[in-house]
Amino acid sequence: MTMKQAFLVAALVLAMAALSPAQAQDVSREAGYVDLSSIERSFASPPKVEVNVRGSLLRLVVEASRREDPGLADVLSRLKAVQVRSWDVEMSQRADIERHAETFTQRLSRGGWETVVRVREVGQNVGVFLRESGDLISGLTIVVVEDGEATFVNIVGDIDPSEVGMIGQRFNIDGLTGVPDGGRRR
Amino acid sequence: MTFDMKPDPKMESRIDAYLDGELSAAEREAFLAEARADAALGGELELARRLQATFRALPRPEAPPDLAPSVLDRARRASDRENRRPLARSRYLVSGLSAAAMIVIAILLVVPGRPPGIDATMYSDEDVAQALEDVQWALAFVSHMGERTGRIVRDEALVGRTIEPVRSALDGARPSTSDE
Repeated sequence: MTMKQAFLVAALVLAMAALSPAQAQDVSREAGYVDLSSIERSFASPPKVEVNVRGSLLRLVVEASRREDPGLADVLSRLKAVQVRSWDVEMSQRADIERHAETFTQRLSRGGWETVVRVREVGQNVGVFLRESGDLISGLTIVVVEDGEATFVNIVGDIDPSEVGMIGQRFNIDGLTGVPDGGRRR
Repeated sequence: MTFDMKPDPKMESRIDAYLDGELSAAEREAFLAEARADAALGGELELARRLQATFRALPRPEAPPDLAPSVLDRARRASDRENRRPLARSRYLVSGLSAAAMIVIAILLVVPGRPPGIDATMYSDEDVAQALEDVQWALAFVSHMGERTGRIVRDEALVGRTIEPVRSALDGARPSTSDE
């Protein structure tokens, strides 16, 4: 074995170690993942709120929350991604946005997502969808179009909706309506 | 780039001796002069230098105390096996692979405060704090919508369309209590 082969073998070992975490972060291949870029194209402006927490950042969040909130850390440790997009919607845009949202939800249904709740009434259009893989829930998607706002949420991972809801109750939902200009961007 | 599939043990041992500092000053000068004149020797020497520099430049995080003895033991046993095989004649290959294995294992272990596989340098503490807030917000939204849709289902579907009609029907069926 020559020096060249020794160097290549050692480089291969290190490259495999480096590649493995990167491959594990390809959350777009998960069954519960939804590509929200398709709905982004329906809006003329960037979202006021954009959240993309996945991979290494999500694992850091898990560790950061572990001491203060072990229950939250436990829920988050089983997630693979959290995505949010939210836009302000003018009354004049409402009908168009609802059509795009309807197309989006129809695509979810064709893609194997199960409709859990669908509410269509004056002033609000809400859809809650779950994706199952075997006996486990691998994704949760919520679509809300209502007066003044359109929001899309996709959570990927091993989800227990009741657990997520229980944990979520502890946080201040007022932050939803009080998002500052520019929102949270990633 | 071509690969020399037949190892030259004499060349490799001379390169090893040079890199390990086993040559005298005069021997080093002679060896380097020969490497400059001989393209094959010069190429092998350059590769060996780069390999050595690569391993030396890798970070060396602290490993738990019980890790090193077991890894070194495995490396020695692997080295013994390699030395018995006719192809693995190079001490440099064995030490290089052993060093690579130890470094990879050490890197993959938990650096204090960080789980394996996380590149902690990618995100600042502010990034993580913001991401935590964002995730809490997202979960709060999910919970909020769950409550809202639950109320809608209760008020519209259950109370409005099921409970009230049943109540009305029961009220209508109740026998009259007035005296005739």
